[in-house]
Amino acid sequence: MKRILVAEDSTMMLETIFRSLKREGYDVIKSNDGKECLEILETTEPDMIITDLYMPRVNGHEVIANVRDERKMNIPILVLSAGGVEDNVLKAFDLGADDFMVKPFSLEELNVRVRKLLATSR
Amino acid sequence: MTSIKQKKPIGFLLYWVFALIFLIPLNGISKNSKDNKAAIHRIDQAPPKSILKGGQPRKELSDFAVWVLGSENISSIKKQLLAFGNNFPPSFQPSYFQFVKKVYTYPIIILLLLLIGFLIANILTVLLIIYFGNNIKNHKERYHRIFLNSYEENLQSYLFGDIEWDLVRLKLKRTNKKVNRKILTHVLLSFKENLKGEMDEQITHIYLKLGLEKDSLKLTKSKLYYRRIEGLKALTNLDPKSAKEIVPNFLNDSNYLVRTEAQIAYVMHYPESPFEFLKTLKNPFTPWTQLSSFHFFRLHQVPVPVFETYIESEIPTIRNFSLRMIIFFQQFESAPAIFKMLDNEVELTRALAIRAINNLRLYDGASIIKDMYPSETLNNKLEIIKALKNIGDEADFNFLESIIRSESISLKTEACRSLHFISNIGTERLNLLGQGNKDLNIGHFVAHVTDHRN
Repeated sequence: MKRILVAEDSTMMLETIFRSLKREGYDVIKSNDGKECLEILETTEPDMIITDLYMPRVNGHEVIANVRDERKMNIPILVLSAGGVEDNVLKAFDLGADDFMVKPFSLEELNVRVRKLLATSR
Repeated sequence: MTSIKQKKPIGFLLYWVFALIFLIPLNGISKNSKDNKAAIHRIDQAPPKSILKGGQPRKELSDFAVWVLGSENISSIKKQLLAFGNNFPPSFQPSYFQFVKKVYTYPIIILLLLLIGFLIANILTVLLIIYFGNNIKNHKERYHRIFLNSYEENLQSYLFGDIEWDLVRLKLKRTNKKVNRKILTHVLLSFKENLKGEMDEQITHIYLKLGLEKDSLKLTKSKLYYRRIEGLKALTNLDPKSAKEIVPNFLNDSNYLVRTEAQIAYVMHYPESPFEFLKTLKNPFTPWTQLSSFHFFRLHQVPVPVFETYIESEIPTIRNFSLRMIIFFQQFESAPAIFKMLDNEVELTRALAIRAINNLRLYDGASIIKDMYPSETLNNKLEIIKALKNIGDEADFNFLESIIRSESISLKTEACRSLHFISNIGTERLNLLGQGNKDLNIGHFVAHVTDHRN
């Protein structure tokens, strides 16, 4: 069973993504912000990370940079964000994100993208 | 200066209040009632102490007090205060009577003391209000948080099919209370802002099943603008059908924020003609609304209308917005309408029309804008010269040269830029001009316009 780490500061969104991915049969780990996400990465190695961009303490860009540059992990990273400001999107891709979704998004689309990213990462 | 007799009693009332509130026992309380009576008699009969040099008797009351209160009021107040003292316990009365006497002997000092006491009481009152206010606020926040979490959890369970509607309905507690219904609407809006797809219909379904659209409709009829916005926003996002009917009623609302909300909602709900409301607008189309509706329009990939339709509006902001949109979406077919705007009385409209001619490369416009040049403002002259860089040709060289010879620095700079970039022949012409007229310092201008930083 594939393990996905989700970092999202909105509890409503976190819970929704959790339920949606759980329904698809994934093992989902929740974190409320970037800092918690990095702490979880100390002890767990997920198969994929889904992260919001704008989070308190440690934001999405820092998470991506940490995962790619410091931990040298090659797992797929999917970024979620409101607004979709072009500079932020480009920065996320520059740092090593694999895909990007703008809110509001449909859960069906999320599931499809997760499936695709996990498939290509094998 | 008003006479002392005419002085009306704001000071009188203050004095009365201070005197009653601030009862300081200035002497020890005597337990013996006979002693009390003797004390009262002594106090009443004792001559006032002298404070003037040479032992002259001092006036009972200062001029200040007389000025504040009026002399007639003063003796009546003193009598009333002394009479009031008879209500106190006998042990306390001598202290009270002595206090009253002292007040009339040293009014300013006592007043100050009373004022300090009053201010301290004020501060304490404010602190109490802050404390209880905070408590109430914290309670409300806690209440809000508890129900928000509960509603979110239950509605998510329903949306994901974990529980049936009947069970959810039971679990959604206190939905008869207005504050709870507000929280429910907030939860649904939050879902709507973050999710789309199959959830869209379900969220609307929940909103209607709970009867929340009635609350939102009621809010739209409120006299308070922020409530109207709240209602409009809820309906726009959660009940598009109702929103489509009522949004046009708010397009010309008296409050500009309500108008903004309605206009953005219109773009959302009428994708077949998202800017049709511009035809019926009676107020200016504000920059914020322009930006928001444009952003929404682009984000949701609404089909692009022909903005030429709105270019002849009487409202300048609508005309200018239309011109900007024509430029952005490169609507070449609007060329005749753009040329018409060159005659407009508003400077910015003419500037945008020139910019449109430049951006859309409407070469036919070159001669028209050159004819406009002598009568235009400085900003529009700059726009014309910039346009010639893209749509000008050799026929315009003389025109540009005349600007370089005679006009201001900013116009000369742009004319040099245009002449330099029209063609290689333009560059040569510029060099010749510089060689023949050293005083024009053409070299400096060319260096400036060819610097990639400019």
